[in-house]
This record gives sequence, structure tokens and C-alpha cells, in this order.
Amino acid sequence: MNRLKTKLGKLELKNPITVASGTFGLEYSDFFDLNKLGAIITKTITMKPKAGNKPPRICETSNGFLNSIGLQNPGIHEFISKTLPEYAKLEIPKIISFSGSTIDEFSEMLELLEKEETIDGYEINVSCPNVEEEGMAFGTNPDVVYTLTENLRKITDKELIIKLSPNVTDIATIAKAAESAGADSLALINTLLGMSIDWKTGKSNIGRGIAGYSGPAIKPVALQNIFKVKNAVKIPILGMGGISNWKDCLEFFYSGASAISIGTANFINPTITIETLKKLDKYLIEQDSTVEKYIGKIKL
Amino acid sequence: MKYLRKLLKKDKVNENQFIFWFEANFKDEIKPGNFFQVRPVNNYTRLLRLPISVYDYFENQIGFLFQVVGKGTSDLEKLEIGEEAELIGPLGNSFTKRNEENVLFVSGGIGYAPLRLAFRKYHLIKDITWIHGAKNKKEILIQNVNITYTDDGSYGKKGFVTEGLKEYLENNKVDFVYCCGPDIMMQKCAEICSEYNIPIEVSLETYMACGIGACKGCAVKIKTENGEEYKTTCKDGPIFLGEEVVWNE
Repeated sequence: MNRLKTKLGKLELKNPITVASGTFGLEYSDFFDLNKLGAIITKTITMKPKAGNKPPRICETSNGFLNSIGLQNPGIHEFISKTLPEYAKLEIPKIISFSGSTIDEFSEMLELLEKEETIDGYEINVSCPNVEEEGMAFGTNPDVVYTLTENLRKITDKELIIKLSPNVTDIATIAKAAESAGADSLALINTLLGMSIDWKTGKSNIGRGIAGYSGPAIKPVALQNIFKVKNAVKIPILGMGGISNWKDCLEFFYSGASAISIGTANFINPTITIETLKKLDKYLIEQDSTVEKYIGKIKL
Repeated sequence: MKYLRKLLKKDKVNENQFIFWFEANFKDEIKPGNFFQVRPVNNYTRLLRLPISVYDYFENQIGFLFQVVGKGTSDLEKLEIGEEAELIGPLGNSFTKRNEENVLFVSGGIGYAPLRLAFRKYHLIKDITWIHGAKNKKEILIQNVNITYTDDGSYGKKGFVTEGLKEYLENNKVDFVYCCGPDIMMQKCAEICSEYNIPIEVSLETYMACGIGACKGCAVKIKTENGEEYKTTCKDGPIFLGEEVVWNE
């Protein structure tokens, strides 16, 4: 009996553990068989190559992590020709994260990706805080999210996941817009916003100043956003934000997530995903339960 | 690869510099310039691991020379003999083995660490020169070093190791330089070597998260045939040619 299986829109996942965009890559195959994961979500690609932000790009805080990578990526053409064939060797669902600088550019990118059979779904990045044109520029306006999702829906039948930012006035409004326009599922939350300053010199510890904030400290924020969205929409949620162990996964299921992504925790422990998977399975056997029985079952 | 290894021995170099020797036996070959991510199993208060260069490596022991500068290194220092640490590695690229006759080692402070294995594996039998600089006598690391500089003159010559490099190049033929130390020192050494048209390999250090090239957090600007690109210190580096590094980026 597979107690771990879960459904995320059109995707049937053998287990609920995926890896968050930007925090993981094929390099991790040195540590474990990546085919054990529920799904893999790739680093966000953009139409043109992006060099990324001026260093320093990362900084640890108490119980958290600041990053200002700036979507460094080789651009869609090199991704398709060089990176995707490597991912094609994996047997698990491959979800491609991408971001455009205009609504039309999102569509152009999707049209290019749709030609690739190996792709199982898309995570639309409208929530990255570390760049000027792409990312969060789109995700804070429900009308923009609606139009964008509607355009993309016409191009693909594959799983369409919209990744939401918590840095908005009302995430439920954005979530409803994505649902109405035909999104299959929602991924939340992307990073919060944060800063870190050297108290001796006054210098920002991050080159660009404001950065994305992730890690264990943001878990309560993630949970409340998922809870809000779960009560606003019917489509499933891919939950993330500060997950560091198997018990956190249960919290996220209770709050409303059908599957989860582990991100920053991969830096803390490169084998956290499979350790979490093992312990979660053990717990479900002890409880004689399944992942699906927990989804949205928070008791208030 | 991730390993659980016991601490076998602690050498105290001075008040805040230590060499910790762990059980070795790793699947992959350890090359000079490689580093490991180190994390004591107990009582570690940081999230991210400590990237530390391999100081030396025999069949059953691996040594890490480190300086206590913050929370992470302070926690590591408290590890007791017999206790375990997680070691992830070997990571990074490596120093090149050169066949030229006249090879020079230049280190500043704790930058001595990665050069030790390069010296022992690549150039032990040769009559090489090693110039080392430190703040004062207490912070000196002198094994295999034949020319020392201290900022305050309390040991060896008074002055900066960069002055020592310049003086040495003026009077000696050098074909290749291995260098590690504070950024500003490596930059100056790279500039000096460029004037003399001598290739120099430097070992960079920066804040790291994943340590394996996935997150792009440890980016460093490098001159390539495509112009200037951000490369990863953890995977493309930490060893780069001095002339390729865009210093002060």
C-alpha cells in the first residue's frame, strides 16, 4: 500500500516530497538517487541568460536565510539544449520553473517548452523578489495574474502551477484569480523580504540590499498563507516555506497542502528530502494512515 | 558524499588557530585545494556548514586548519576527541601540479592551510621557497616556510608578505606561484605576478550555502572567453588563476 501517494492537479505523485526551485539540482545525485523524490522543480529560467546579482548573494540569519541570487541562469535556449536532456534521464515528474519580463514573453517561453516531451508541468514564477523585471513584478496584481494564467492555459494542457508571493496585501485574491483563469494548482509561499546589516560597518551583508528570506523562521508565515488560500480556492496547493523535517510536512498537510517542497533545508542537510521521506512513511505506517487523510484537516 | 567521522586529535597552533584531525577513508581522491563542509554533530548552533580547506591528508587522517572567527568555528573548536562531525566532500577544484622548476608558495595568515597539501603532494622533493606573512609572532605558521614577514616585526622580517613577494621576484626566477590569504593580499599578489608575467593560482573563500554548485550563492566574477561571468567558488573554484579573478566585484 502506498501511503505516501498524493495528487497535485493532474500530477499523480508517488510521494508528496518535491524540491523547491533554485535550491536543488542534479548535483545532489552525488548524495542519493533523485528518482526517490516525488517530483523535481528546476531553477527558474528566463528568456535571455541572466548573470545574477552582485555578490554577496547569501547570508544566514538566526533560524533563517537571505538570498539575492538574481535568477542567474543560462537562458531558455541553453536550458532546452543542454540542461533539459540531463533532466530527461530522471523518471520522476519534471516541473520547469520559468519567468518572463512581459506577459507575452511568458507565452513565448511556454510555446518553446511545450515542444519538449520530457516536461511534465510548469511552475510559473510571478513571485521572485530579487530581479527588476521578472518575478514579483507580476505576482502582486490579481488582474495581471489572471491574464497571464489565461494566456498560458491556452498553450498547454500540462500541469500549470502558479507560484505565489506572500508579499502582497491579500494572497487569497491572487489565488482566486489564478484559479479562475485555469491554473491546475498553486505553489506557496515564495520567499519573504529581508535584510541584514553588519553592525560594525553599516554595510549590507547582501550586495543588492533587500533579499528573499527563507528557512525555518518563515514556517508560521507559510502555514497561515496556505490556510488562507485553502479556504479561498478548490485547486490543490504545493506548500513550502521553512520545512526542515517530517513533522513540518504534517503541519503543511493539515494547513491545506497536498504536496510540499523542501528548499533551504537542502543547504542545511543535502539528504534531508529522503530522510524526511523515510520518517514520514514510518509515521504513516504507525498511524495506519495516508498523506491524503491529512490534507486540510486542521482543527481550529 | 556525506560522511560521519570521529575527531582523533586536536593541535592548538595558537590562541585561536587549530588543526583538527578526523578519521579519513573517503570514496573520492582528495586533491590539494579541495575543501569539505564540516558540521559537528552535537552543539552546532548555525544552520549552514563550515567550508574548510583540507590542510593535510594521510591514509587514515584528514586535517583541517582553521581560525575561530565566529559562531560556527567557535562551535567546531568545542568538539571533543571521540565526538563526531559530518564531513561533506571532497568539494571544489584543485591546485594544478606544475612541472616547472621554480615554484613559489605565498601565504597570508590562515591562508597557509590549503597550500600545505599542495606542497606535500606536488613539490615535497624540490627545493621550493615559501613566503608566509602574519600579523605577529603568535599567529605564525612556520612549517616548511623559509621566509616570514610579520606586520609588527615580532618574527622574521617586518612588513607585508606582498612586499616579500615583490622582493623575491626581483631577485629570483619563478615560473609559478601558489597563493592563499586575505582577498586584498591575493589581489595584490596577482597584480605583482601579472607585472612579471608569472601565472598564479589563488584559493578564494566566500560565504557558501549548498557547497556543490546548485544555488549560485557563492558567485565570484571571473574573466572568461565570453567576457565576465559569475562562477561558483564551491564548484568552479575555489582555485582560480589570479589574472581571471575580477577583484573587488
